[in-house]
Amino acid sequence: MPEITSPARMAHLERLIQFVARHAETAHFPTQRIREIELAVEEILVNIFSYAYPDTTGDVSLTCRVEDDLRLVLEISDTGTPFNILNVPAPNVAAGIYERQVGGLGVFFVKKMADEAHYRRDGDRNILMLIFGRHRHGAEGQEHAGGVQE
Amino acid sequence: MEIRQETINHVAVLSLEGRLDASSARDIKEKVSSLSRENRINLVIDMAGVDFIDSSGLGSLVSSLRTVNKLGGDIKISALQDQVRAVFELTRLHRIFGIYDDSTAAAMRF
Repeated sequence: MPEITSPARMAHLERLIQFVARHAETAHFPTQRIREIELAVEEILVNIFSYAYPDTTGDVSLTCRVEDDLRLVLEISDTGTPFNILNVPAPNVAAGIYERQVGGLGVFFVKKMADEAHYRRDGDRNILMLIFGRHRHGAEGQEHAGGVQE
Repeated sequence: MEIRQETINHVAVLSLEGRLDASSARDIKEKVSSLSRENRINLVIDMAGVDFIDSSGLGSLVSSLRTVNKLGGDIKISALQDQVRAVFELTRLHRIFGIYDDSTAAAMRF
């Protein structure tokens, strides 16, 4: 499976996102869907860059494949602090401007954009598997639908 | 991210160009803070040139709105591209910000 490993730093963000986007483009995923996949990948990577290695530096690895031109299967792994990002509570997007948390939306986007999301700790690695279909679940009726079930 | 500033109907219009993401979120917050110190608290943020926004970018807009709201001002948003509009709708920010087709229409609503 194609793999890319890079230092977990913002300077490498675009290259890592492009690695994933190229797979979706090759499989002729719709442009809007590719932007959604990029958003999910970006949120995960920025989280890793910001929090996985608080006292040191480290790498992030991505593996990616497209199954039957229908499903993009992505694994993002790091050797940082054990952390299941999927356990982050959902933000209250119905809250008003002053009640809203400014952070916390990243995982919300990941869960909305991916059809499936699975976390496992394997040895010293955090491994997050994300699966994206060609179209986002519930994208037609947007506000309350779609994504990984809570 | 490039931020261009002009004035329409006595309202400061900030036209953004590029990705509004973790690397550029601080730019917009600093720009709005700087304007608010000059008591320019009614703003339009034109997003015609923004083709990608993430949670950090949204956070910068929410934070900027709070800054001007506290001073009695407001931020209106104009010209959302498809990806950006979808993200606004997912997070229901289209119910918090006034969203307009173009910057002139937004500036005229103050």
